Amino acid sequence: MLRKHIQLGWVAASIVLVSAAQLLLKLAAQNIDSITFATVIDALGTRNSIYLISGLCCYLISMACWLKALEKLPLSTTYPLLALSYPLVYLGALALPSLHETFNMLRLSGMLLIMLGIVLLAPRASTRFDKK
Amino acid sequence: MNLAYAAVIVTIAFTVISQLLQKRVAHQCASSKANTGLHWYLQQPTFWLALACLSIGMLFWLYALTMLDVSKAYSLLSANYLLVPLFAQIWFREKLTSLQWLGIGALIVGLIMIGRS
Repeated sequence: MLRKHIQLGWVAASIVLVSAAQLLLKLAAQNIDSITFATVIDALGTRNSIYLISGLCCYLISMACWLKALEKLPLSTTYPLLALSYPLVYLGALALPSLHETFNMLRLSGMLLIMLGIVLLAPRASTRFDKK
Repeated sequence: MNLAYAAVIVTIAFTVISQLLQKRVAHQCASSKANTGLHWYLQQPTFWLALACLSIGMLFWLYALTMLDVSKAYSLLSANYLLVPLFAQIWFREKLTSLQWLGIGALIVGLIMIGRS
């Protein structure tokens, strides 16, 4: 029982980190008009590069957590849980004034449908271990 | 425009393959007798292949985003949530109940709604 919770802990850590990575990369990219090799090079050395590097670090640690989770959990039910990062990123973007994210009814409904999907999937993700 | 869609399809293919490879190497780690930490992964060709596929997928994703509307691109990418469980069933013989497929369906509709908003 405890082991299962540890597995889901890796999943949760992975999702939170990947959401943080998205926000950090968004912060890094918001002052760049288009992504070309030159604009990325220009961004290095500014505050953007701190966002960029910490964002990429979050991605790497997230992948490590993801592998730890997949050691025991089945991919088919664990992978869809990653969609939880959409509501998380949305909440984060609403909380960060500099990203100018606005409230939107259709978007909120989409988020709720994602959560419904997660609720239908998540209990099995914790109980059903792959046999292979 | 067609190039953009092609880039999204390549992105989907590479990220799905990467997920399957990650599951494969993680499963190998779990079933190996050696005491394995994260450094174990660095010695596995499958891990590097998974990382390479993910990186290639991301490059094509950035390329697609320069040509395609972000919301449309994200809606297309929601195909991953169908394809990864589908191939996991085939390759790893995982089983999904109809309720779980319904959950995946709800999730994909939610993602498309976000894309349209």
